[in-house]
Amino acid sequence: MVFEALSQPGLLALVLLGTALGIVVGAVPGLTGAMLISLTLPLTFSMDGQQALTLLVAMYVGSVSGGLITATLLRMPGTPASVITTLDGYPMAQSGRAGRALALGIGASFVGGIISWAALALLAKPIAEFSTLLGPFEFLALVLMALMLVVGVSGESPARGGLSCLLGILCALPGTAPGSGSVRLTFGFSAMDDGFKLLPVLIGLFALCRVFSPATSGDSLPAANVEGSLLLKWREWKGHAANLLRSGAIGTGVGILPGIGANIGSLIAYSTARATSKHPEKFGTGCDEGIIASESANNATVGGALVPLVALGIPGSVIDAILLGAFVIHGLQPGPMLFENDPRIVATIISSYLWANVTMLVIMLLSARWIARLARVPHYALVPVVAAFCVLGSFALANRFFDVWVMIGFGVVGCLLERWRIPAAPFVIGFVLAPIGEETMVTALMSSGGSWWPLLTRPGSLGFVALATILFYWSLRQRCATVPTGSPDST
Amino acid sequence: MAPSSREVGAFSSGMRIRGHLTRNAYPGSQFFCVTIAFCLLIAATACRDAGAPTTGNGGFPRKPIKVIVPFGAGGDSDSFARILQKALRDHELLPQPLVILNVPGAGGTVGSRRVRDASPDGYTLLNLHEGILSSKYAGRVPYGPEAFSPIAATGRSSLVICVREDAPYHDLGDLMKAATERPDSILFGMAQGTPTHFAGLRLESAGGSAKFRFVASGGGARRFNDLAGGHIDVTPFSLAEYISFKGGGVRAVAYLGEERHPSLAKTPSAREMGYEVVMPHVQYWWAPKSTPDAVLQRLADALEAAMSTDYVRARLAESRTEPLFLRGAELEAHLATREGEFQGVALVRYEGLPDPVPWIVVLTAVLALVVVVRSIKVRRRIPETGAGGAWLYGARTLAVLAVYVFAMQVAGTPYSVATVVFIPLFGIVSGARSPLTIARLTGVGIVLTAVCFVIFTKVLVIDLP
Repeated sequence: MVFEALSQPGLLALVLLGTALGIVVGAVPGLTGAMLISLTLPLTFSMDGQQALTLLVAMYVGSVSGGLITATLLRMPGTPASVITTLDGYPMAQSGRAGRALALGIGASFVGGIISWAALALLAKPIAEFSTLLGPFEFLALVLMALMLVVGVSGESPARGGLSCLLGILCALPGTAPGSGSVRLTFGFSAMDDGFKLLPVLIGLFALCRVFSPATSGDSLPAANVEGSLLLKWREWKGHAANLLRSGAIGTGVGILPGIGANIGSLIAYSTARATSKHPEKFGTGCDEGIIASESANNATVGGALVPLVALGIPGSVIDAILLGAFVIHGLQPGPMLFENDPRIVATIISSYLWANVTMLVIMLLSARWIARLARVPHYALVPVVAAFCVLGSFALANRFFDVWVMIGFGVVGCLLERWRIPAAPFVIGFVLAPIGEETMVTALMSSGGSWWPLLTRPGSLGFVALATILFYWSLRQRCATVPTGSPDST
Repeated sequence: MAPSSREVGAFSSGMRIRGHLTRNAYPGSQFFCVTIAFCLLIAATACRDAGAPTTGNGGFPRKPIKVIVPFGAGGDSDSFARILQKALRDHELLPQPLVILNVPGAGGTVGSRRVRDASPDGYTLLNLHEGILSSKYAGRVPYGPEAFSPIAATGRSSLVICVREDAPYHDLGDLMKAATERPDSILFGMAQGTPTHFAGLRLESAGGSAKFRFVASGGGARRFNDLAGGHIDVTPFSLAEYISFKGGGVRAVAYLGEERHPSLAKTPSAREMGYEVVMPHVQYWWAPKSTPDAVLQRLADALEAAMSTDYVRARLAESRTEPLFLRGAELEAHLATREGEFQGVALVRYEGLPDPVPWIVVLTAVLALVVVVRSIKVRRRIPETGAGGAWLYGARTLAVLAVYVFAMQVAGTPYSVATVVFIPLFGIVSGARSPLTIARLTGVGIVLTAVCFVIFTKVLVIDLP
């Protein structure tokens, strides 16, 4: 579980290569880890299974971590996982503390990764078996909980956050309806049969929206210098220990649930950190806790998502589904018997996950000063390149131009939202959650024959509903308490 | 073929892009020599592609053949297509390579529509299993197999009906009896409108008055999760899925093949138990309608030869797939039977679901009203910024971007040319003024384009315009 990835000299090189490539695609808006891994999969044909999985797992880890760079420095999250990081990372970088923001993000990512590695290495089997007990109603309750938590990230007013989230849900509705299987709201365009994809929507809202906005004075200058040491003092980390552990655990837990991704993990961790913080009013203005919660949770989801994959053969995320394909191509039988049949492969996956996290930490720390200069690139030089990547990435998603136009459309939407001071993060959350929520609702109602009651009679779903209510209440109360004293204008 | 070394190349080029982001450009003549070389390379590639013949008869194929897999990378269909692709390449069964293109979405219909509308020259093919029938009879698309020319059917496995290990049903008979005695109480997990759904419906009709409660659980892994956790009682898996989930608390009660499968010798087929339900899962290869016969024959020959290679045989044995191969009249007959089976099933939709659309629309409208009313109240507090300039800037950048995409999509400008022009132009629009800066941006554009072009088309086989 620890040293298998070092057993062949080639494996460590693959970890290094995979992590570095992952960080690059994670950081570039328009390219994502899922794209990198699915495109790399055919290239692993000539490797053996151990090498292929080592490379792919390292890419997975790198891609979730790389997003924090562009999210923090440019407010262009390279991947959906880093949307929440923009809330505090970008304000902190803007106030001239880019180095600290990166250091916090990198460190928290590492700790989150290690926490979920521990869960993966020690408890994969029991956790995975327990997680099958969560049925459609528990998933539905969890999605409802995440939707309520949007209030925690909704910037200056819950009403605007709520509106943004609803608009996101609205944009997720066109396409194939999960209940009936028929298409809806496509207005006769067959290209819309599958609705809008997440990637074009995300990079439209965040990256392209910046491309369409003129450079503002002070947009790039203060973040230029990385002050002080990137290695924060041990004392500082100790002060955040509770937050790190909690967020890592939340991320791991969310990652284990199939189909619920890293962005939701970081959302729940962020909202929880905000609700339990002594200074909730600082969230959204560039506070340490926000960055730590978001980044440790999103990295922890990677390890969490690997748990059901190695223990039961159930993919916990989109990328896991591609890894499952890698198993098949290399003649490995994923599933409950993998631990017994191929213990070496399981150990290699777990070990390469660990070393990919270590490599990520080293690479990111060594290059952080260099990376931070990204914020100093003049606007006119940065935006053409970003725009070109956005177009390329959207096209490569399904080899069609429709997605490119969708991205351009959402770029315009993003500008309008910004103009009307509606935060974009809840929009993405709503967009991601709507299909998951509707699918689980359909499954749940079909299995109960149309009754909603199991939502409150099953202990698991009742627990999530209760937790959601408590967190929602706290968030609202904190907001009411802070509104008279100042205006936490964040996004 | 040495993927690792190619990836090292990809990696270093990725870093080079970033180098440019940060430092803007390399000065010096050496750099310009390199850029000119790249330029020539791109132009040469573009010319070669443009000059390739588009149709062929005796000389088919004269350029790489695109195979559209309408599902994501790593899935069943994708892996299968790639195995055949490798066999065709390694045994040189076709003079040109097969290029696999994943076009996922809407149950495979985004990809199938693309091939249906492609030109019938044999250079764009579709690899799609029974999904082509189920999406027609589930009402998702108006077309089915009749909109294509079938080339061949390759590889067959059938669905396996599974229950939980500790379930009280010993065999299919028990299960069907329970579904008859207690209708609408046994939860049947399936994915809406797919063969798993049709399998359940066909079992119902074969069992007389049996009735399941259908639950749209989703894909195989999701259904396994729900079955193991007790959220559904019975569900069909593909044979490969069943083999991988065996030992995780699931038990097969029936195999939906013509007869028993050798690797599931103890599991009876549904026909043996008296239920005439056969649900084979076959990978079909399709060309657009009215593709010339000679081309279809050439492709079928190549696929037939690939299916009989040791490599493909070994791979199929691993996933317990029978090495079936059908073409010509046999294939037509097979497809007609299969279509008849789907035709006879009335897809019942569950009616008790709330429609979320009106709810969301009303809620959004209400909240939008609240926000608007509030912002009118506080309007005077917000200083008006120079909005006119921002709008103008936004419109200009949008226009340039739209022209760039339009040029590639409609006017057919190659990606390389369009991008090399686009980057400096966009730089000018977004505020680059001095000639030196513009020259540097041009340089960045050329390098970036070359790198992306090589990585995407040569290493990753994405089909750039």
